[in-house]
Amino acid sequence: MSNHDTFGKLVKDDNDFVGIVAYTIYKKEKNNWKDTYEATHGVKPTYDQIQQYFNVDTTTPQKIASYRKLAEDRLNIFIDATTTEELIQYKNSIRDDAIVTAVNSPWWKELLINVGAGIVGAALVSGFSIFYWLGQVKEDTEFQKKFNDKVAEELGIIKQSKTE
Amino acid sequence: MAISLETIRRANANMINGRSVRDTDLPESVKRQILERRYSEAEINAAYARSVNRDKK
Repeated sequence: MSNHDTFGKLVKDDNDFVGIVAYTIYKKEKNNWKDTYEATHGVKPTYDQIQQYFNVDTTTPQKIASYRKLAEDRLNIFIDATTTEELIQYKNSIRDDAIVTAVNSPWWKELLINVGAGIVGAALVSGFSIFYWLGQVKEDTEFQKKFNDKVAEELGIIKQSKTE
Repeated sequence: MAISLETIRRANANMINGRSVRDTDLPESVKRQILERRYSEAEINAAYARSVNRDKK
């Protein structure tokens, strides 16, 4: 059991969240120190060595204040990240709502759009058919002759009816 | 504002991946406001205590 009571120095009470995070930072630093020691000396440090070389520095009031400051910084970064993520989700939900609203337009609007599209479509097909027919007629001499005769006949009837 | 666990998970993942507020497509003024707002130790602990007490009820 350790006698430096780092946890007690870093965490004031159950609601001291900053202290809890500070203790995590302390533990991470301690683990890094132990790993470095082992890599350098080829063996793990003993409890006494940890007390003598690591904890002697880490449990001073200055170091405790430093851990708490680091925890506060880290938590502010986390709060920033969470706020940002929440705003991004809010922004996306507004965009999705706008898309859904645009897609779910009222029935009368849909009807108008469809009727309009129908009229435009019919006009295009009719126009195309008329031009196609005129093109065919232009090259059909037999038809032109019959057509002229018919027109002349009709005009003759009209003239005749006028003279009567 | 209630923040979901999903939001917290995403925020944590962004932190792990090194993605900061500056890397998002939020308006610059919003980013600045977020970065300029700094919570004190007392504010963080008070919010934590409120959250713990709310969960206990």
